Amino acid sequence: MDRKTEFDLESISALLDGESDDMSIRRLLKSYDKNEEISETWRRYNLAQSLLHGDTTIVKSSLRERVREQLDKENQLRVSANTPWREGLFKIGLAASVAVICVLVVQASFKPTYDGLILAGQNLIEDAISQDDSTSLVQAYETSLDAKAQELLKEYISRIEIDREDPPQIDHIQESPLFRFVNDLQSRNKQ
Amino acid sequence: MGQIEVDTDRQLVDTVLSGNKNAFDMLVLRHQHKIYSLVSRFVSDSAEAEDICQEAFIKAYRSLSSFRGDSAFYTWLYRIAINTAKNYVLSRKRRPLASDLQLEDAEISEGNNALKDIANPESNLVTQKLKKAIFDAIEELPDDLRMAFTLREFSGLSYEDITEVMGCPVGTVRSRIFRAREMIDGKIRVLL
Repeated sequence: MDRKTEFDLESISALLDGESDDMSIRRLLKSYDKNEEISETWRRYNLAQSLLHGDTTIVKSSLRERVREQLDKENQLRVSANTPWREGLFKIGLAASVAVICVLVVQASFKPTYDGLILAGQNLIEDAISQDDSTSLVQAYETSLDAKAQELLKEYISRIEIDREDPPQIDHIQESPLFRFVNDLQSRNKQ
Repeated sequence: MGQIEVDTDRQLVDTVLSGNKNAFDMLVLRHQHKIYSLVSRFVSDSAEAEDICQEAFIKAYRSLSSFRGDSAFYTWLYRIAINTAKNYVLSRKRRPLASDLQLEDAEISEGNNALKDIANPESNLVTQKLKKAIFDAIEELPDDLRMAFTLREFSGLSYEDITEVMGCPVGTVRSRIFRAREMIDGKIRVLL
């Protein structure tokens, strides 16, 4: 037994007695995958302790490996299932943030009150109707909604809760112009 | 001893929750024999018992973040194992071997021989051989190692308390207990 292994095994003995600190555990776990002697000794020490304090039945097959394999499989599935929606969710969050920033910038530039905006919007709509200009009408309508949209967007964002077991479907959102815009920004940044 | 076991388990649970899966592996190795022994009281077939143990550990891993430490980890794990075994028996419409066995009874009976006849004779023989080897090995230990080991293992003293009883530094106590374990381990290794 080399000096390092002996030191690790002494740490195992101390851990069994609840006399190990977090740093020792972390160091021990670093060697865990590399040195099978650590896990085997831990298994036998615990078996001996169980036998000393009562009856126990020895597990013949490697239950531990079966548990480990099962957990590895589940983790792989979870990672592959989570990656697209998490990435999508990040983009939605980014898009929402961009939208909020745009609204705030506009608001800061013009410094209108909410009522003032509504009034201004109504005036624009009336002008557009009187001139029979559909393009101006759409723009006027959007302008009148800015302040309210901002409030609604803030409220909506504050209410978002993610159920990890049942992640939201975001396929349809990925087709939206804002989503594409964020994607473009990201790919430009990467370049 | 109970309090110290809780601390060790708690440390490992916290390490798992911080993202280290090897720590859960250590928890499995630590408790697998006791859990298997418990589950064997519900099903007679060893393969079925192993399946139930596997499922119980997986369930424990999945819900580990909900373990708040109100009870000892092994009590929490035992409850999961017993519920898993009960569900298995119900799903197969089988009666458990000890049909009047309740959760509390199972927890209390851990360590006594009340249900020992359920385990298979071959397994019992191995267990008895191992126990004899362990106690023989303790008898053969040098005095200083045996004293440190028995004060820790049977009297439940902390290393700090043992330093006062034995009049030596804590590092020496730690080393003596480790060397005692290594000598015992050498005896049981050949039997496993």
